[in-house]
Amino acid sequence: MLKRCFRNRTFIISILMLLPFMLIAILGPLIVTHDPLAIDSVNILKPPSRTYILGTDEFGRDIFSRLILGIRPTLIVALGSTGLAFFLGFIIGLLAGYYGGVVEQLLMRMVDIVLCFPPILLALMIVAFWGSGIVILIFIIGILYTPHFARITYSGVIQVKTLAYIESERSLGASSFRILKRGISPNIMSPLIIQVSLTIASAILLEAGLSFLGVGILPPAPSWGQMIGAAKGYVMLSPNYIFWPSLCLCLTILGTNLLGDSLRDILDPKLNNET
Amino acid sequence: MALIQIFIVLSLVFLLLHIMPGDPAVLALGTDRTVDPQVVEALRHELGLDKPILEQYLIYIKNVANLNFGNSITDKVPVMSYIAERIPRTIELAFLSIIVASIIGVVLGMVAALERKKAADIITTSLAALGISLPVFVLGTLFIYVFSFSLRLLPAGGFIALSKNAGAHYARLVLPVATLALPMAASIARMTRSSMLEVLNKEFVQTLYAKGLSRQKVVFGHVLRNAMIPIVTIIGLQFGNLIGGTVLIEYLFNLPGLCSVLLKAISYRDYPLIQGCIFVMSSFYILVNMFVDILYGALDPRVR
Repeated sequence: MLKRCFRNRTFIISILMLLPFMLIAILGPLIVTHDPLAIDSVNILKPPSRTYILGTDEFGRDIFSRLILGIRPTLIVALGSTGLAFFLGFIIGLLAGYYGGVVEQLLMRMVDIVLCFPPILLALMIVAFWGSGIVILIFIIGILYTPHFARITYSGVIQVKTLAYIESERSLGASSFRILKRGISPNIMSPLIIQVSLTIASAILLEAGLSFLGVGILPPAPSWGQMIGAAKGYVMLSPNYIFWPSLCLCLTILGTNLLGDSLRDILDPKLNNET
Repeated sequence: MALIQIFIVLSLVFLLLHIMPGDPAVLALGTDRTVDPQVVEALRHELGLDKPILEQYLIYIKNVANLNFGNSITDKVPVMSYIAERIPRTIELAFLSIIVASIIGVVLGMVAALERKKAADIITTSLAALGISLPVFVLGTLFIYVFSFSLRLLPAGGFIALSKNAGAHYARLVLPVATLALPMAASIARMTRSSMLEVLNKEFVQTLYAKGLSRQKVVFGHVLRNAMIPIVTIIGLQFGNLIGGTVLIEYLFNLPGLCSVLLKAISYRDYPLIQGCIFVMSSFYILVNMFVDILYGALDPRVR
């Protein structure tokens, strides 16, 4: 399995793109040169210099340090919300697919309701009234992406549950829980793993969008989307202020998307000979 | 079906606004300063918040059925007149973008599939991978920087009514539409390519060639037709992103559309206005999804 991963060129490229960001997220506080919140009112919107490697923002804060520490909230929100969506969606999909009937109707229609809303609208509305912050963002984005996981799990379960080996397992007296855990779950994992990486990319995008509008991760804590939002007013004065957070954001999303693409090639043998 | 969905959305919006911590009246008047309780009470009465919750709900549903969302809290203008004024601008932006995106996406995807593993394919697929990873607000800022500030070719945003000056009206739409359309075109191109490839590998395509049909007839008459369903699906799915995209784009390019009203309403916690905007946008979203479902039937008789 791992061997197949490393034979895939896209997989290696995506890992090489994401690894530095992961390391920086972990080692962040050790790398930064300045307090990301420290205001230096003399040096506002300065170009890169020896003290400020990437220059300063509109309050004279060090862009480099803010960039480095901006990774953490982004990753925490993306991973947390994807984890929540996976957990909820997987359980809903398993139960709905396995039991069918009333359970299915109840659970899947509930999931459909979430899909009635355009994602960013629901997020905006909740943020407007509940306030924002990392926990709320994880919760909202998690709920928003639950339907995708629920639907994928559900369609996997109804395909697998009629197969002969599940029947034989049942006739041997296995409990429903055991069948779900040992018989069905491992066999429907591949599309879910692909969806995980795609959802992480979407979650980063959504969080950055909300922060860009000023309703995501709250200032003065640094986050890339919010830095881009602030920097857009100073594009002419200080182009490098907007350049760095945009580049980091694009690279992270591109890396995650490529990872998803390569996992699709690796895990889905049907497509293997096509792409 | 669509009506039921809209009804559910309505009820949920109502529920969400009423289980939110804090009284909308207090929130609207500002939480940070001490407000005269009598003023709060007056606003609560005006908004009907002092009635029992079930009665509020019934009044709300009745008003919405008559397309009456009450008045905006901040400037007392009826919410409906706000929406009626702003919605054509947002719809224009959205539809122009989706049309541009579909044309670019389908054409590039087809070229990539037909030229598989050649230069055109490799360039298109790499650009598409890049395109789906570019956040619209980053792409938009880049466009503003390059085309407005550096080259001074196009205005960086704002809005001029079509009736006043058609040229200026469309010049101000070029950048927003391009920004919205390109990432969508990337997704559409990817889907078109893989869907076309799947059909091109089928045996009936060989039969058609063997029967002596020209490549043009095979590709446009048969392959594209069979590859159309996933393409329509992805275009339909793009509408979800489109609504998110228009929020960001209207903010970035200072377009006074529906989404910018919503953002303003949210920052003032003007909740009749929020309800109105969300209702209109969700209904639009649901209707588009329904339309896509109907299109399936037209494209694939097996679905009917």
